[in-house]
Amino acid sequence: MNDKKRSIEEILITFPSAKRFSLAILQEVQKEYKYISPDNLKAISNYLAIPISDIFSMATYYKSLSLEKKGEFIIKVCDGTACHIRGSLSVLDEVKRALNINEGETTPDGLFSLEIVNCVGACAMAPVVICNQDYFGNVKLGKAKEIINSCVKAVD
Amino acid sequence: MKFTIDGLEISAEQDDTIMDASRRAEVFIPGLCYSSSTEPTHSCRLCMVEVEEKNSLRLVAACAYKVKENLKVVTTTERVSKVRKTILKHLYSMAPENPAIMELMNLYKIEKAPIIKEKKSHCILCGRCVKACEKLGISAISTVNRGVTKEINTPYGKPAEYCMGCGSCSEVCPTKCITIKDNEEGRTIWHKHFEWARCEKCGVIVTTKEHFANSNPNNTPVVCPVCKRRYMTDVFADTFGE
Repeated sequence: MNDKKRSIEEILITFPSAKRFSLAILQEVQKEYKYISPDNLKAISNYLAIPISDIFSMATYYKSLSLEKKGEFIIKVCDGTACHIRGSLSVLDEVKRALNINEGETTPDGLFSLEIVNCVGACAMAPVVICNQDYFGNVKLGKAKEIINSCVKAVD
Repeated sequence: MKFTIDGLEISAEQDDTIMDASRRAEVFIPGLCYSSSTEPTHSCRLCMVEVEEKNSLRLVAACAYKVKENLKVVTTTERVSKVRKTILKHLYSMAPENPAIMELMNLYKIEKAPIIKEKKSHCILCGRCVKACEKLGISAISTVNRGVTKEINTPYGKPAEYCMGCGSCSEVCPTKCITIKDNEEGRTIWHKHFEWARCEKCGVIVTTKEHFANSNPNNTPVVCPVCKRRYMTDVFADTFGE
């Protein structure tokens, strides 16, 4: 978890300097730094020799790219129809209370971000909570807290 | 190449779109995002017409459809006017009471739709300004965000580094919604202030300093077109005698 982050140059050098790699680079930078900083945006634009406004346009278009720093763990609570009916809102409330943030926000320690998604295609195991790459189905009351605690432990 | 619009024969060049040929022949097809000087964005969809293909009519955008030999284009069918009406109503809700849109609404006798939400800007997101800026090699502006929050802006909404205040974006804007503030001191556009480059001879405003520097060789004296002509007359007079 605590390994050093790759520098922007190290990320850029793994891609050829062509416009079609701009999204792949942005995704890689997002993964590494959890956001696209103004300096990195400029570095990408210089490397690919395309205007900064084009890269900015792309970075604001895709939801998976962020201009503000996201948490180490991104908790997504599904609020699709099936999850909604099976009580996703109380799960969401629980997460909000545990982290003391609202949806779309990040905890001050930079550990968690909370997002609402509109269906992840796993309706059979509603309600669903996703923490980074891990999917949790049939989330009961109390389970959300467990997920958060296990993340906190993983960092320690 | 020859083709017909509503029975009227029009000639077209290779790779012309229906819109290119019709505008050249002065046959009117409405279109807000179309401009012969910038790259097409095909975004306003106002130029929808029907073309005859395999004995049936097909709806196409005139600004995107390449003309073929003996193509039959019709713009007066019920389908076309219905589509045009719908699109204009949508555009009206994006830019209520905008002169450019009102003109077309009146032309096609379309009733106003109720305004659902007051809009800050009359931008219809056609992207003509972005293309114009790109064509000038500046690319200071682009579309930002998506969906209902989509807008045209500079990166981070801050003064764009390369913007030279030429005002081309405002010039090509069909709804004239790009705010550009000119006064005695200078011009403010896209959150950036520019000083005027004034004619050295008569003091008239030529353009912004940045724009002048960008479009002329280094150390070119700032002279307005009128003074330049007068100055050149003197040069010619000297060279060739009165």
